[in-house]
Amino acid sequence: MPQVDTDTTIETDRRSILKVGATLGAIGITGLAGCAGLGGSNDENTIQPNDDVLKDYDSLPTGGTFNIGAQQGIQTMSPFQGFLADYLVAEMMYDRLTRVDQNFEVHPNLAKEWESNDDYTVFTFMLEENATYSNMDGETVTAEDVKATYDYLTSDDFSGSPSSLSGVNEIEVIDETTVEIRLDEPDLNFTKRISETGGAFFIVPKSILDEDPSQLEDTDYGSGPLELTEWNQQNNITFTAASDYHIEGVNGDPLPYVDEIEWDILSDDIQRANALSDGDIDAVSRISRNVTDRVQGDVQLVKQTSGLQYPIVLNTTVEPFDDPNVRKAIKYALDREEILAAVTPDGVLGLHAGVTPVHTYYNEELDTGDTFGTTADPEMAQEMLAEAGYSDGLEIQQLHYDDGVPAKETIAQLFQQQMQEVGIEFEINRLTEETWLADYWNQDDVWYITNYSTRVLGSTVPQLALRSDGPWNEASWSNEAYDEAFQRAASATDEETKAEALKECQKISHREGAWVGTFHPQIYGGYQNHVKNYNLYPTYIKDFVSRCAVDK
Amino acid sequence: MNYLYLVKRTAIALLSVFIVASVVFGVTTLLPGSAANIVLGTEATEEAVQQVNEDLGLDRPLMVQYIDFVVGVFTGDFGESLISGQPVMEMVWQRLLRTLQLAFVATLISVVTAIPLGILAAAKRDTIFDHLTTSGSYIGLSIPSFVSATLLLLFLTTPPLALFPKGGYVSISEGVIPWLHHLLLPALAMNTIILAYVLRQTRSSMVDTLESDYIRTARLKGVAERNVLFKHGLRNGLLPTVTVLALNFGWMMGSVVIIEQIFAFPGMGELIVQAIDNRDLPVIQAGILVPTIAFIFANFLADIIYSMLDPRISLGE
Amino acid sequence: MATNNSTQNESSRFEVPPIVWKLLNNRRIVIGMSLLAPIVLVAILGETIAPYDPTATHVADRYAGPGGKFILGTDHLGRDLLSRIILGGRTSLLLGFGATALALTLGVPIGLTAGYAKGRVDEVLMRIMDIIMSVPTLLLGLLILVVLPSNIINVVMAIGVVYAPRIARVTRSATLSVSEEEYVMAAKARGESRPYILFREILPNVTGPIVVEGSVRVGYAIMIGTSLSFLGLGTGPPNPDWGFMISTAREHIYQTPWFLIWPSIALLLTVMATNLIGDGLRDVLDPRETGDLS
Repeated sequence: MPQVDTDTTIETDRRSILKVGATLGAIGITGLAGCAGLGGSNDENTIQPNDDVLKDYDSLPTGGTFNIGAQQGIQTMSPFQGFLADYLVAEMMYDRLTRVDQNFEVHPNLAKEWESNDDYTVFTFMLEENATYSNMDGETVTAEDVKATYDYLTSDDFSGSPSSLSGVNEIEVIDETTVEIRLDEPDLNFTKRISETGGAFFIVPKSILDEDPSQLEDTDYGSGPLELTEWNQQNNITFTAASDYHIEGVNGDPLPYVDEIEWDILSDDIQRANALSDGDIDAVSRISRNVTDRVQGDVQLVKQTSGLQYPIVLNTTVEPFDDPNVRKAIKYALDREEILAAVTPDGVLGLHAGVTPVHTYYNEELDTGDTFGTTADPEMAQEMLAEAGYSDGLEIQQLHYDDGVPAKETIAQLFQQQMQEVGIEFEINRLTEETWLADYWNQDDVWYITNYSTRVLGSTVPQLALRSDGPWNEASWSNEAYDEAFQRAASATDEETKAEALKECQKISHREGAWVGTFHPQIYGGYQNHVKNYNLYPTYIKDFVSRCAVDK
Repeated sequence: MNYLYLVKRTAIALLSVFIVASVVFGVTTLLPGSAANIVLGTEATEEAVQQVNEDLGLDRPLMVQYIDFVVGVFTGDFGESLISGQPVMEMVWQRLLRTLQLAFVATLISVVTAIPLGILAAAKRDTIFDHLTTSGSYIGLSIPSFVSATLLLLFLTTPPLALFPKGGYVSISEGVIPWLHHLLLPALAMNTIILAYVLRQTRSSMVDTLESDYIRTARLKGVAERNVLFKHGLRNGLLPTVTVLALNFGWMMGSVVIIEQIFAFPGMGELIVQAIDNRDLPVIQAGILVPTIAFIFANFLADIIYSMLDPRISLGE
Repeated sequence: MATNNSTQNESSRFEVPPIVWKLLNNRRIVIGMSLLAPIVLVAILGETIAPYDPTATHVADRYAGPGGKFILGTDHLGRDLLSRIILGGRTSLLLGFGATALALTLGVPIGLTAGYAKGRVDEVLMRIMDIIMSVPTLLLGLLILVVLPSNIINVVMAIGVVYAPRIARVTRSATLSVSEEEYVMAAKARGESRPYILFREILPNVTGPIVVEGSVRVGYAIMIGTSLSFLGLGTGPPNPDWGFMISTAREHIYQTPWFLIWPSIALLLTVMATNLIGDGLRDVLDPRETGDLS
């Protein structure tokens, strides 16, 4: 830093002090009487619920480039690696057998139709005949590719564990466009499960997998509606429309409507809001509530209820979370309404159960009654603590949270304050997302705030995280009654049994579990008014982007 | 021009680069966490992390990695990004050019405003003008760049005074005006401290020079006042300013990290922040080393210019 | 009679060293102290005068403007801004003084040794200092803090290490000129040990430039410290910290600009005060240009 050097003395009379004041005034600090002077809030851009602004189109304009702002760049082109953010790219380039829309309904994709046997253990998929891969000289998707993809994802060469394919016993190629999948146990919702968010069952050419799967990391071999043509690391990614995609739009022509999609990576929320206002981008895939006020111009902002959850994991390997009474005390002392008010005015509160209000099997009856309530109940909390033997208060080790999700910081701070009110003390510690995932996630002896995106199936999070044997049982929580009920749900062959069993799971987890739900935020999106057919999904799925049209 | 001096300076510069590179290597290998988890995502297993580490060459003996690294620094090869596989130098180069444009505009602003102001203040010592500029520079010196950046963004990019874009970068090939339009605020934000400092430095060294024997002699000889100021005074008075500008270059390389964040300017600073977030080792190393090397070079240049302007220096040390 | 009285008075009066008068008469020091003293006092008193617990949230009152229950308003979680600024000031001042103290502890001995020993030792030591200084300050701090956990001790350490070379340089320059003085020669002739010469003979006579440099460093240490915590490398929530507050406040500008303004002003005044004091000290203790610009 530069050094300060000698100078003559300045006068200390009133004049000099006034000069200082004048300078401050010049910077405009005195002019900040109210927010209005900042030219921020724009009343015209009220946020509408996504479904309210949806239209049915008979025809949509074609052509043009669609510029959309994203929060994160992608780390790799391969559809089988990386974080959820990378699905932004995978869904442009690759297809799954089915696709799920914003109402959680299943539609054909690479599989144009399917059938199953009576107890939902065998599914036969009939594939599209003419779904072409990019960069493969016109090769089309065949049943062999489906089998090869499955084999790869379940082999030792692949280091992940695709939950969407668990329970699959065998995949058999019947003919070039027919493939049969056999399951160990019945699964009513299998066709949805294979398109689960976070599930990596994108179909990839067999020849590429046989040759060298790492080629996927820098070339697009997908059958998706778009083809990756330019990748400027951390800056932008350009996709051009694939020729002759197998799904048609409302005009009767293959998707997409636009000629090109450019994803602009603008990691700062404020940047993205500004870019949208200035028209530098046509839309955002996601935007934070904090900055929606600064969006101006001919922009439509939308909100959507989501099943995004940020549960606090009361890891039972951390003392004293192994004591159910302590867990209950925490749930009583928790004031979820306060957390909701601080983070987002439009969110909803759910249960401590992993299944969220947007899902069909959500247990609504649990909202009332002795369910810890939505605000703090310090007396009950103290009672539970006393029963556990901590009437004088309790000190716990650090609560960790990562900076990957800004809301977690608010949750951590408020949670700490709320627990302090009933004598539960602990420090909070911030980690980078990367450190959290590498060193803390799903480990023993630490507790933290985790996050799950909205899954297509309500049962996915319980399956992953709340069963005793769940691969992501972060709290190491084990409850026989829960496991039994979940098993019943998993092997159910009719809707009613399944629903009833899952509702019981939720009841058990809510009361006895180590998974403390906080709130479910609304998610927000936005687009310039010349963009058509923008449809913000509650899930993380972004293939709605490839279905947008621009009228420029 | 003394060639021995030049050679000595070059040797020192190269040695500095070598040592800093070694230190950076040493420090970054201590980084906790690994890039493998980023690449593999949440479904990573122990074996997978091992495999990725192997693929990325992170399991080779430290000595091998070190030699590879140092050689790379001198040949401009910082390896590939652990995350995207892109050659680091490619990623860095483009961004470096943009950051240098920012630094250039910032330096230009300070040269064009602070130096004349400093000279005037020295010439009009103890007048109201002098006091005003001096008090102003005190405030300028005390505002950290992120505060001035945020305030500038707040007041000059939103109505009613939306005079500038909120950030981003436009290449000069699309016109000088838009290019400048986007660069001005970040350059200014980066500059408030430099401006203040250059102003004070110029003023004080001009004051010293104007009172020195050298100038007195010139005046006694009957040289016109204007000539006294420009021909004799400036040459000596501005010498320290050269060094100061070089020093400030180094300071700018550091403060871009914050400024670029705030103004969404796609330069080196932004790259470093992202690389740190991602534990992208080679990019972090390049992100620290490249600005440092640039700074060492700037200092080297300043030394040479200084010695050319002041013959007393190059004749010995 | 009158003369007797005055002589008696004079002999019993405490002799104030003239330097103190000079210090107190310097305009800059006076203004600087009048700004800094209340800031330091408030920081020391901390919790006792803060109207609220700085980490206590009052979500119902979030984004409040100044006036009313919360004198300066509240932040996005309803925490009192005044209390957070007071405690944040404590962190910043601790940082500034702590880091400078560390820089002095490391830099002064190095400078003394280099300036006294001269020759090879001097060259080597100063080259090392130069090399540390060739890395842009913020980047160096960033590098250190990326590897170490983010707590105030490490931040103090990082900044102290980063600024030690500058202290060393200043000390060295001053030592160079003093080391030829008679009393140093005399001590050498007497056979005194080197540490004795360095710390008992030389050091007391070079305090001027060192004090000046140190006091200027305090302001910069505070600025760098706040920059680092702006980037998220400081103490972390929920602890109040000016840099982090300013960073968070950017997102909530439309809800309340005061969240941004108060910590900015506090920071500005603190750094300005230290700069003024540093300049004033230079006027008094080290009025000539040392000629060493680094």
